[in-house]
Amino acid sequence: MGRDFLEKHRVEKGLEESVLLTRMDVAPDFIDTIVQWGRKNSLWPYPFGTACCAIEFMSSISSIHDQSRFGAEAVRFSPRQADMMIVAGTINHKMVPILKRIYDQMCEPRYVISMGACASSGGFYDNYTTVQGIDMVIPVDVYVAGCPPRPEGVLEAIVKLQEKLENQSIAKMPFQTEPENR
Amino acid sequence: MMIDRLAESLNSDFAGGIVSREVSFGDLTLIVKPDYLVDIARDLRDNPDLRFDLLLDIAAVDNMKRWPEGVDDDEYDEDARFEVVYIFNSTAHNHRIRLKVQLPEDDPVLPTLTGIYGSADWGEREAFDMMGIRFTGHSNLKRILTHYKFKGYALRKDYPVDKEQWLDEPEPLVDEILARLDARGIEVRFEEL
Repeated sequence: MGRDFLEKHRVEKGLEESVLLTRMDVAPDFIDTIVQWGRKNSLWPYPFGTACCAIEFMSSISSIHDQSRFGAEAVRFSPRQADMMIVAGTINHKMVPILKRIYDQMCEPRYVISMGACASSGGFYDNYTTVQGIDMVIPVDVYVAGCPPRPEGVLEAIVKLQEKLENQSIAKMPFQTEPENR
Repeated sequence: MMIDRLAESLNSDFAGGIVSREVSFGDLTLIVKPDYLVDIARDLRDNPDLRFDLLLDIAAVDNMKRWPEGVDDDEYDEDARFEVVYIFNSTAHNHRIRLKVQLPEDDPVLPTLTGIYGSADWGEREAFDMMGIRFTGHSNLKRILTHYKFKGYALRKDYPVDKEQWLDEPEPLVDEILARLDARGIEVRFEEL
């Protein structure tokens, strides 16, 4: 919520709490802005770590790089409590049903960061075991290059995702899952 | 025991089954005939001079020609396309031995060693999965690493290196669950599964 938002909508200080007032004609915009701001600063990651990228992801969580500066530090190991999946590692063909199932179980709207060369393109595993990029299975929002990427790469991916969420209206939220898969 | 003494105690028992022998990388390597494999392996375990109590690994090698068509391929022998390598270790005498069996291209079949060494179970399943070598007498010879509907054998030289197979239904594993329940004496009616 920037300065232009505060200029558009009046802020009145009450006795006990602050109150935001808006007009009827800009109400959808107003709600959008609040929801987008809240959503982008409270992403809940689900680490789908299958290889060495997951070790690097741990580093981006911990204190030196400190992912919580971007509001995405509450790592959940249940897909029901998460809305950002970080696929960190090689996905082989036997893993595909698990990946798809867990993606379907996540809260909507949900986002996927494909971390590293293996998850994004199969990496150097161009053989019978490995899926040549997880975007053949699930939609991906941000790709991170590297083998493995540095923690700064993960942080930049989160910032890129936040930029995407800033412009995503709740009226156009992507809901995809068929009910029987939820 | 010295490596040459090791060879002597074997040779006296199964001279007809041993095709050749050499010492490579500090271990004795014997190429044996498939018919003699089980007897030799049993003797390796039970002979008090040898006492190879561990089967460390089973590896399969594909000796198919690797150079393009038209190039001279005299070294390629269709009757010895596959080579199965058994590595044994003796914790009592602290020595090792390597057995190799050569198998033909059209029908690579070997007798199982699961009756003698328990660790042969998964090793033989892996050799079956990756190279298509069948082990007669194995109680549960099915794929161990690739998908259960995988076609072909992935580590053979004639399997295309970048060929993928999209198989995304999970294996039910009902047979393995039932076998484990049965081993623990738990009776389950099939409707409950």
